[in-house]
Amino acid sequence: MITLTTKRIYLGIAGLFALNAALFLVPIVPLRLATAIGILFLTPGVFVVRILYPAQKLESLEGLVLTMLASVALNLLFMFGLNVVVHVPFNDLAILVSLAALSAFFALADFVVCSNRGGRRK
Amino acid sequence: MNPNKNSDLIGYIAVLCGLAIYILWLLQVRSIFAGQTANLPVHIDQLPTQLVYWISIILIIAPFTMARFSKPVRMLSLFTLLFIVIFAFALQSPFNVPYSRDPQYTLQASEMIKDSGYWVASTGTGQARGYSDFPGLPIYHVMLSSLSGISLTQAVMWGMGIFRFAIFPLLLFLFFRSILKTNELGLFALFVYFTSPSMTNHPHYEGMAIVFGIAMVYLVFVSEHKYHWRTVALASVLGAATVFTHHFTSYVVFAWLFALAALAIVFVIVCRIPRVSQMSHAIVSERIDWKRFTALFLIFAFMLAGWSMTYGAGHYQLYVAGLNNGFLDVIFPEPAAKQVTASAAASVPRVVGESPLSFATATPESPQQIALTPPNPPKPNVISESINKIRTQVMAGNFKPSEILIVGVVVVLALSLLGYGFILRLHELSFIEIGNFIFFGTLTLAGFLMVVVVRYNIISRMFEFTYIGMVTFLVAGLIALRNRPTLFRQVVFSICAIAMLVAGNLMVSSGQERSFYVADNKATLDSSQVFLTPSTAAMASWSLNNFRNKHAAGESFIFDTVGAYGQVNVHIYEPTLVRGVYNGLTFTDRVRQQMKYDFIEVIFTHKYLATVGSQTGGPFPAAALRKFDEQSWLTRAYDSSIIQAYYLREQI
Repeated sequence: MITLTTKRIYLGIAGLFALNAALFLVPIVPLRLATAIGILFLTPGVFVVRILYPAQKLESLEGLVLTMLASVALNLLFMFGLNVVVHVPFNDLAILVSLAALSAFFALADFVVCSNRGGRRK
Repeated sequence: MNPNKNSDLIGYIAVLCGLAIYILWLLQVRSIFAGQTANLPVHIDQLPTQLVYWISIILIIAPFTMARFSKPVRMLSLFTLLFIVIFAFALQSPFNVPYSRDPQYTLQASEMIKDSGYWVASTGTGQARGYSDFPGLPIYHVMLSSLSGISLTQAVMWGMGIFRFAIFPLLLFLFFRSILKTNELGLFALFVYFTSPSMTNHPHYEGMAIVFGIAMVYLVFVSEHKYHWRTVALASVLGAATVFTHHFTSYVVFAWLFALAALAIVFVIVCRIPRVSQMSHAIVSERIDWKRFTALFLIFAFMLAGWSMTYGAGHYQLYVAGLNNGFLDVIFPEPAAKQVTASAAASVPRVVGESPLSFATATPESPQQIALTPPNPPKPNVISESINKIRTQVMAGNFKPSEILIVGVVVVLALSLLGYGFILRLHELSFIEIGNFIFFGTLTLAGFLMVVVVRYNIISRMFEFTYIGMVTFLVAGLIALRNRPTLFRQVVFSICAIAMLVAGNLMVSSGQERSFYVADNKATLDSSQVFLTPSTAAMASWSLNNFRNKHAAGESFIFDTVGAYGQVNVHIYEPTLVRGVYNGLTFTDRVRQQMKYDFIEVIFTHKYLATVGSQTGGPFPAAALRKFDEQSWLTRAYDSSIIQAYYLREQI
């Protein structure tokens, strides 16, 4: 069962990517910068932390720090791996699509874990 | 009005006034530099007094140190200060470009990834060649630039600040709060950490890796979740990020983990002694999950070894060689190699003709001097040698006597607080606290000793690590000053806290306000932002299009500008060449031969050569700098009011 909070997180992250993509066409730099920071620092860490630590066991501040750390580290390692192993180039579109794919993967994993945990997750 | 609200209002006003003064000071300084591009360096008397800067900082942070203000005021005070400190690099760039060697070559490493679309190890020129073996930070800059649409230059300018401001303070707060147990002490620990003399926030690889490294140690040793496999998984990801971001940080984190594990075993053994067991009960009673810790340690060790044997091999070999040849040989010199006998001196040929060109190597002693040298010279005293070297560096640095006095007083104060804090916390010590203290205390001592080896001169950088082992004791000592709420104690406490911040900030080696206020006789061209004008940037762009990856003769300033931005191989590490090109009244055959050997295609000169020195020598004689236009084999290919480039027309 997916709770309202979970839905909001999914929608929020999807919105971040959608808005960032839209801002490729209409370049409003401050807004695009804000979405870029959101993508780099919140995804996919938000899903990773939810998967690893059930919400009620993690203090919100600690959760935020771990989310940001996991996001930046995973994004860096994932793009590095893609570039070296399957030669995905570092360009604007490839980076956005790759990070969206990474987040989608962890969102799906979160969904599965969340469903299995059932009512235990708030 | 409620008295508390009244005092809070004073606190808010102090912070806002401080911020306003800081902004005015910053705008004024930047506008002076913008108006003086043709007449650099800017003289101190043209700038607003440094007192303005310090008044603004004191106004901003004073409310945080005062217990009477409410939490929101104190938080605003602290985070305003953290913002100014962390974003100092970008805010205080006089010409709005990344400055100093690390950021400039980081920009090159990032540009190479973005331009080609691919990461390739050991590419680029100068420092970037080594930096490209650790792609964490450049990839972060490329991703930030691509996703946000800002230029790569701006991504390098602001990226590190964004990363560190978002994560580092919160991580440090969590780390120290877990040890000190209260939010209040956690906040003070955060503040004390930011008084570190190594609190550099410019785009440097260590600055990013240290965040991952501390987070990893936090997860496995401090966090409440340290007993779970999921924590090992997350810590492994952070460990991987550390390894592929910075070599030295990875080695320190590895040693840190190893030391904590070794100390845990030692404590278990030592606690069997009855008297000790009473004292160390709290330390030993802390359970370490050996299974999970060993798993993480092995994972990290494999990752580090893997990277060090492949992409990071160059740096690994450099560290090993440096440690053997420099540090260990100084401590344990081999007697046979060090002895110079009088009979050997007699066989040394007399040096005639021109003096040696190399100024990096020691000048050979004359036979007479060698003859006077006793056959068994005394063993060098490493400690006194280190202290002398530090003293020499401080005296040669851009410090005023009053600043040296402040730093000296605060060093004594900090050591006293550290000792007092240690005594106060003796009965509350946790394993991680005493473990950190022993490990980083040893590292600090080793760092001071390493000063004798120039390549390991880490004094200005090591406190970013070693403060982790000292912060909790410094906080305990500091807080003890105001354990009774009297006005006098509050004033003493605030003065001590602010003095620590001021002294630490004075010692920070780049990005701080002091770098603007350089006396004429202490100005250098090394990594100095005050010379990076738009004209210099234009020259670098031109070089990028015309001399990319080609070899050039230049010195520090050319290495940092044309070398970094223009991706030109500037032969800075050949002092014979640098001195031969700029110092002689003509080009000797030896210099021309070396240029041919080095495939030099261009020589750069600039207007500061005759007036300002650098690590590579100078100021050079004006007469010697006029020779370039007189050579038939040199063509002036680029000309500006600041930099000139001479193309070598023929193979010399």
